Amino acid sequence: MIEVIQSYERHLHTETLDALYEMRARVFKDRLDWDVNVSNGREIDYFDDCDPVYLISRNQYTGRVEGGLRLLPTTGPNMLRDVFSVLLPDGEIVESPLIWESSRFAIDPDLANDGNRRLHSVTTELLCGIVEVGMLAGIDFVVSVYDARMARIFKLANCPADVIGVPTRIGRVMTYAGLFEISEEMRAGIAAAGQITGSVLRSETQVHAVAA
Amino acid sequence: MRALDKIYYDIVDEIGSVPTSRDVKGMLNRVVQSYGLRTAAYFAVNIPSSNGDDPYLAVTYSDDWVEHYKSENYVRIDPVLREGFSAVLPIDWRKFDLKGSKLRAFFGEAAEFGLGRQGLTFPIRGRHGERALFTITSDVSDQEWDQTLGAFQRDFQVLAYHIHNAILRTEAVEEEEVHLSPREIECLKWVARGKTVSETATILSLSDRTVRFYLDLARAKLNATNVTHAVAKAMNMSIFFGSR
Repeated sequence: MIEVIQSYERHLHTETLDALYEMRARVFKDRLDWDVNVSNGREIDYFDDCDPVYLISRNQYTGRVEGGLRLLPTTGPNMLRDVFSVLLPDGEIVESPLIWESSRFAIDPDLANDGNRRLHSVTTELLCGIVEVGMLAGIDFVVSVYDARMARIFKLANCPADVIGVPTRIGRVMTYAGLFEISEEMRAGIAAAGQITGSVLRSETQVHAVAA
Repeated sequence: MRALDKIYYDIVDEIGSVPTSRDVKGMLNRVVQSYGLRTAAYFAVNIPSSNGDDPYLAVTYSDDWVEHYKSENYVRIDPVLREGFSAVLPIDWRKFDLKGSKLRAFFGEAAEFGLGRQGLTFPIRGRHGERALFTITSDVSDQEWDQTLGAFQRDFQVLAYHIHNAILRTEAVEEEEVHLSPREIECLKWVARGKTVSETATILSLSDRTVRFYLDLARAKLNATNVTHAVAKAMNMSIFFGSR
């Protein structure tokens, strides 16, 4: 089940978000050793202060936070524009009210201990969540900066990513900027890969939602 | 072109040519009339403005509601404000729990002052870190409103953004310069020459999806509603001049 959390309701979800930041520290610092700031075991950066939409995957049975990501409109501050502009040469800027950016896509590393089934399940659920939320908002595309590891994950999840700009080695990591279509076809493809039937969003988010 | 597309086309064209603050209200009225709405309103904070008008408010409903809102200090309880400035998703007013008497009274009074029973607020994020809200209200039934949302939500997201940029221009914040990237120009150029998205994709060795993506970006930069509109504007700006 995917929880959708926006900034104005943060105070109702402090434990959930804290679990997300703690998990992100384990993924991006401990596992991947990326150049991120971890304080008190939590990975939080400037873009968390930009009021993103958080998508959180929570295990229905254990209640644990198992994955998460954040979405920001490309009309305002976002990582592709402000941190990874090197990926888009020729002064290209992705800025549109119909395009969002997804970043800090993280899955609990401990899930891999049960083999890849759980990992795959949470991944497809999160990706489906992005498309569903995007359709709720009426947007066209989501862009994201990712590495080869994530590129493989997208493929396995039947989530086509089109690379834009120029893949560039940043630090030790080969980095890509990719775009993802927001459409029913996209959602259906990912859902099939994840054996998902119906919406992955918790019911409150669907109230008065009209898929275009 | 569908009649509704033409309306959208005309409105965005008009938004693009709004020269003064006074015309902003006229433009909002056009949106209300064209879409059969009750009211439209734009509200922004921290716009880097030349005349220090912070916050910025442009509305089609009467000033009486604005005055009443201020005198009752409704900024304290208005849930649209509370959520809107940190939200990303559009806000459907039906989500608000009106069981509490304060909120019920607030929305009741809004209706008395001319706001519609249905409301939808679009959060706007700007390049300079500014935040704004574009709100429309309507008196149609729930069922009709659901259909309206499906058909127009995307339109209104784009309109909200264009209105925001138009207002920035009237406040002399944004320059008129438009810079399309080489890829955006390439995609637009081939479409201008009559190629379909698929044909353009083949010519440029891109996927259909990527071509549509660059056309989306070009449209946003050119304040255009659709590709035909974008091509027309690009031609007027001689964007294709000199590109092979």
